Amino acid sequence: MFNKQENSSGEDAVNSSSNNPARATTPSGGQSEASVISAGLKIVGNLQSEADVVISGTVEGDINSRSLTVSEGANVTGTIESTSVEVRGKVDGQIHASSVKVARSGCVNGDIVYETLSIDEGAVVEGQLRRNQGSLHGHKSKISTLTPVDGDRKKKELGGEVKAG
Amino acid sequence: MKANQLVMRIPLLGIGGTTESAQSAPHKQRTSFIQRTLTVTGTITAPELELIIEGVVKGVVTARRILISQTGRIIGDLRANTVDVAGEVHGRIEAMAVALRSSARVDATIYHHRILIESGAIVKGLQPWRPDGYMERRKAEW
Repeated sequence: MFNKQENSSGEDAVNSSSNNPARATTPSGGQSEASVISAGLKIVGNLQSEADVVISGTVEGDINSRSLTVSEGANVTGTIESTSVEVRGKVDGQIHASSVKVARSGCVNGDIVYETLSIDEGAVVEGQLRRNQGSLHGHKSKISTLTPVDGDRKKKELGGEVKAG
Repeated sequence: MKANQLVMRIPLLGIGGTTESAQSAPHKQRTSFIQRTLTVTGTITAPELELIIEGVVKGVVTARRILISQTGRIIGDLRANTVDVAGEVHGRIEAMAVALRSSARVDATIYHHRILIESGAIVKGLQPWRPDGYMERRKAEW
C-alpha cells in the first residue's frame, strides 16, 4: 500500500503538498513574531536570537536576545543578556539587560545588572542589584576615562620599585 | 480518481498521525515555534508538543511532531512520531512517519516506518525501514 504512493506520479505528490502543514504554518514575514518556548518544552543549551523570545517552558543555558519574557511557570537556569527582560517565572542566574521588570509572580536568584528596573510587590529577588550607567556596550569607554587614577597608581608602584631597588 | 484520493489522503494519514495522534492530539494541540531569528545550541525536549522550527538548531530535538520550515536548519538528531521537513537537516532522523517536501535538503540517516519524498527534494543518506514497534522501543532509550 505504501509503495503505491511512492510509485505514483510526481504530479500527484505536488498536489498532495497543498496539505503540507510546514508550508501552511510558515508566515511570510515572521520577523516580528516572537519565538515561543512553550510549557512542556525543555532546552538544554544556549539560545541566541535577534528578535523577541517568550519562554513558558524550561531552559538550562544562556539566553541572548532582543527582548525576553519569562512567563509564569517558566524556568530559566543560566545567564540572560537582553535589551529588555520581563520575569514572571523563575530565573536562576544573572540578568544583564537595559530594562528589567520583575512581576509579582517573578522569582530571580542571581544578580541583576540593569539601567531601568522595576520590581513588583510580591516578587522574589535574591541577588545583587547593580545599575549599569549608560548603555551596556558603552561602559568600557567610561572605564578608559579613569586612566589618571591608573597613572597615579603606576607612579606609586614605580616609586615603590625604585625604593625597593 | 480513486488513486488520486488515496495519494491525497496518505500524507495526512502519515503526517497527521494515525494511531498516536488519535490518542494524544485531541486533548492538547500545543505548538511551539522556533522562529527564524532564533538559534538554539543544545537539546530540545518536548515529548508532548508539536514543534515548528524556522530557525537554526544545533543538537538533539525530541518532540511529538516536528515541522522544519523552508528556513529551518537542523544540525543534529530529530526524534518524533512524525517529522515533516521543508528545510535543511544534517544528521539523523528517527520517526514513524517522515515527509520530505520538495524544498527539503536532507543529508541524514532516516529511520522510518513510513516515508514520503516529494519530487525536488535533495536527499542524501540511508533510509532504513523499521517495523511498527520500533519507536516505542527507541523512546525508552531517549
